[in-house]
Amino acid sequence: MSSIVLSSALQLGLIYSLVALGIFLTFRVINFPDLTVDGTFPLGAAVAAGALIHGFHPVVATLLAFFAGAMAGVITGYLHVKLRVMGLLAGILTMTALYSVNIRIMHGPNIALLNVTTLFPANFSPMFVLASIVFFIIALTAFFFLSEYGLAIRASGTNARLSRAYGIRIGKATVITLAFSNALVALAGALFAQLQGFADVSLGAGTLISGLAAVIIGEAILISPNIIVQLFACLLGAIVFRLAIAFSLNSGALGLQASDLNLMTAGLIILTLMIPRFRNLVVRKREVYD
Amino acid sequence: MIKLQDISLTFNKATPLEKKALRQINLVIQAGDFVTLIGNNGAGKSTLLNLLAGELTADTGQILFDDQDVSKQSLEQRAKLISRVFQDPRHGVCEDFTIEENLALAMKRGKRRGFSLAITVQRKKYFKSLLAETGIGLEDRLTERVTHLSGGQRQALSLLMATLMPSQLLLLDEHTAALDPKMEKIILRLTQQLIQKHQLTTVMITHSMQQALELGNRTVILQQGKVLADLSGAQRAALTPLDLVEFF
Repeated sequence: MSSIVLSSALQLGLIYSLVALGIFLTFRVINFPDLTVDGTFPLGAAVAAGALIHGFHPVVATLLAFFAGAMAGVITGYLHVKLRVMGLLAGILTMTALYSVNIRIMHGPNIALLNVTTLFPANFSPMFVLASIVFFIIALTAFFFLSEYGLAIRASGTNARLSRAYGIRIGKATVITLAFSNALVALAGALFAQLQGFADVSLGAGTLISGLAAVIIGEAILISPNIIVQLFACLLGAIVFRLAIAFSLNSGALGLQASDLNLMTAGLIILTLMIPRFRNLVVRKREVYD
Repeated sequence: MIKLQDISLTFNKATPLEKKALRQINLVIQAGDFVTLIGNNGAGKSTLLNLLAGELTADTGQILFDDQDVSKQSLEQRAKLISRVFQDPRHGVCEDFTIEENLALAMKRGKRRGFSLAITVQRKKYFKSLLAETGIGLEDRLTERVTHLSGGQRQALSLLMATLMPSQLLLLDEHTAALDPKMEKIILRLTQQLIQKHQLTTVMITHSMQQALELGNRTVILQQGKVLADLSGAQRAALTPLDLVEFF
């Protein structure tokens, strides 16, 4: 692997660690399988790119994308909490609607960011910018989960009955978590668009599955009940995942092409999910021989 | 003082499965009362408890806490007034949480939860001293996950959580039913100790006639959704568990 391939894989890893964090919040913390993210990632890209070509400052454009993502999360949350739409379907509905919304925002299926200032100026290391943003977000999330309300949100995901008996409003907790999760994914989309120099309506395909892959890989590497460690596991998982993809796509021996990515991702997730089972098998065998 | 006025509740109304769970229950629970609630399966004990807690809403009637009508309040809204220990040791604690996280969660029962640190050095000290008082050996395991605890230890923790903040009513839903006899004794002793310490008004469901008489100052017997007997004072003191069975 050349150093260019390596650094681009690391950059993507950093961006997708935000997606992984978002997925972790919904799938793991509040136990809500949120599929909105496949629409929120391109939403973030579209909003940021649209704002940039209209002359907004990159920081403002990125923040706009963040809040647009939060809005999408709130919509999924309301569909589920207020209108009682099944969680899975609520996410799919918002995601489907976002496809049209994203094309409206961009006045077309894509935007090229030529000759506009982004968060990644040419004379500055994009890795540094990305790493700063990601660590700031992880610190923010960690702080949130150490707070009274963060604890309540975690409780709402593990024991709804008890949480309600202690006065926690599950619906509100769900909407807030969905908003934060989708805001993070939209932020990732905004960063992706600025780093790659374009936004495209089809960017979202596979967002969920690659985020989930990162979460699962992270969990397999760093096993801990501590929420802070789990947040860092998302970062680690995303980077390992991107490196693994870069490695397999770039090693000629495997003969893979870029379009094989989805197949590989699915395969990798299945493999990672099997790890605990293999571990059990090994342990059991040892017991038998003892 | 807690008043239940004309409380009725029917499940599956106007269907072949219609069941009148509670029929015009009238009950006044004085502050400081410790009521043991007994009755056959299906007599309405759990329904009554769930109604008090706010998990169920009555078809008719009112529930008053010191003249404040809470009948229409949700479970979450009543959390300020009511604390509860569940029958199943898995329900009364957050399994994925550590002991200190569970206690920190309970510190804010029914209150606004903000963005200040949930677990502080002072709180840790406080939790440790509370756990030490219970004598079940959890005081040095604050950062351990609850998954590792036995059923009895979980119920002890759940009790501690329920009594951590002041409440107007403590609901105990057969909270020792899932425990072995030795642990049951320990948890009952702890229950009495905590109720006394905090001067709590308590309603406890039990299936044990002996417990029904030994604990508390009052025994209410439900049958087919009605109050069959409300025993206290000398009348109750004269009863043996066998006498109690005669009521059914």
